[in-house]
Amino acid sequence: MSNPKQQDAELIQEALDGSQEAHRQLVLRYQRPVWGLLQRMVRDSMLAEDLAQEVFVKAFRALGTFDRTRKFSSWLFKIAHNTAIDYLRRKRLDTVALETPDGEPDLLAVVPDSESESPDSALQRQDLARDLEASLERLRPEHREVVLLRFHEGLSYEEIAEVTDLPLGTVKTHLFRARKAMARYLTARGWEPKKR
Amino acid sequence: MQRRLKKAVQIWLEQEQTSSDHASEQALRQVMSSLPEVPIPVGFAERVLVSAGIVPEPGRTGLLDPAWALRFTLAVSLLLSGLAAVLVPSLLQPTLGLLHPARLIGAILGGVVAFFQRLGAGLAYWRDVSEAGAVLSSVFSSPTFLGVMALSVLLSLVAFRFLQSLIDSERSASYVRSI
Repeated sequence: MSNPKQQDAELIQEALDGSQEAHRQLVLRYQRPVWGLLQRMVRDSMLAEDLAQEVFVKAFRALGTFDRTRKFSSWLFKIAHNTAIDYLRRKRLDTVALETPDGEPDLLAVVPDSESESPDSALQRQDLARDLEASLERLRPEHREVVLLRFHEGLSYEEIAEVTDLPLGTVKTHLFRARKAMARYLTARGWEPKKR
Repeated sequence: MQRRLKKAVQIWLEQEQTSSDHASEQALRQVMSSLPEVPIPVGFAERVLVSAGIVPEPGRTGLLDPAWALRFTLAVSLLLSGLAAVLVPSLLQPTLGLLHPARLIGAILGGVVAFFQRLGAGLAYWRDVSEAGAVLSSVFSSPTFLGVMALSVLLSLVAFRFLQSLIDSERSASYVRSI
């Protein structure tokens, strides 16, 4: 039984030899992470599909230049990152940042009104998964991306640095700030740490 | 699902307040893994392969495609059937008029008469040629004609011998008679 990297290498070789099935298997293998990343980056299913298609098409056209000593998933994520960033730069998708540029939280817009609604009733009303998605959505795109790559796709700091072209220290800083911002958002929405 | 996610979030928020970055990251990873997966649209992989030009677009086929050829054949057949439905009745009437029994018999008889007329003319010409041949034959087979012919042959032989001896006497001494 070959490991995933070997399986990728075999599929890539077959795809380079012109196999339709190998191309299909590569898409099926990586559509979920690529799609998930793009969907959460642009927050639009139709657009995410277009961008995900673009990512795979770019990857297939550049397959001959892929360095097989690297992980195919990292290479694909890099293409996805570039595609998403290009789109966000083009469209200047407006995001409501949780952090102000100096790193201070900007929670006025999301903190529930404590006088009009008790935390208990808010807990009952809110859906946790939706709040968690909202905490991701309200991150800056560059923070959201590193969170997804790290905690959803399981990439290492080094792999994230390679995918995003950011220094390792910046990746760690982004992750730290994003984590704290998400925790603050969820706490502000009424979710509390486990009682001791 | 909801309970598992709630528990994971509670643990993560607790770790954020009290523990190291590593422990908080582990807890957040647990939270993220509890998030529902984003559904992939049906047929996404096939659309990618079409966009990349790896498989042909469904419906866009070449002229030699069997399905296209079948549709073309059916269309041409229908067109020809339509044309036939319009044209055949107008063509059928004169054609059927020609096939009326009286006209048909008349046409056949006319053909037979014409054939025998031409045959009669041919036989009359042949009779004239035969008569001329019979006359010549009677002349050539008469004893007088045969006598004249035999005399002519004898005269020719004599003349030939005379000319040969005349030519031989005029040849040079170096002439060698062929073997």
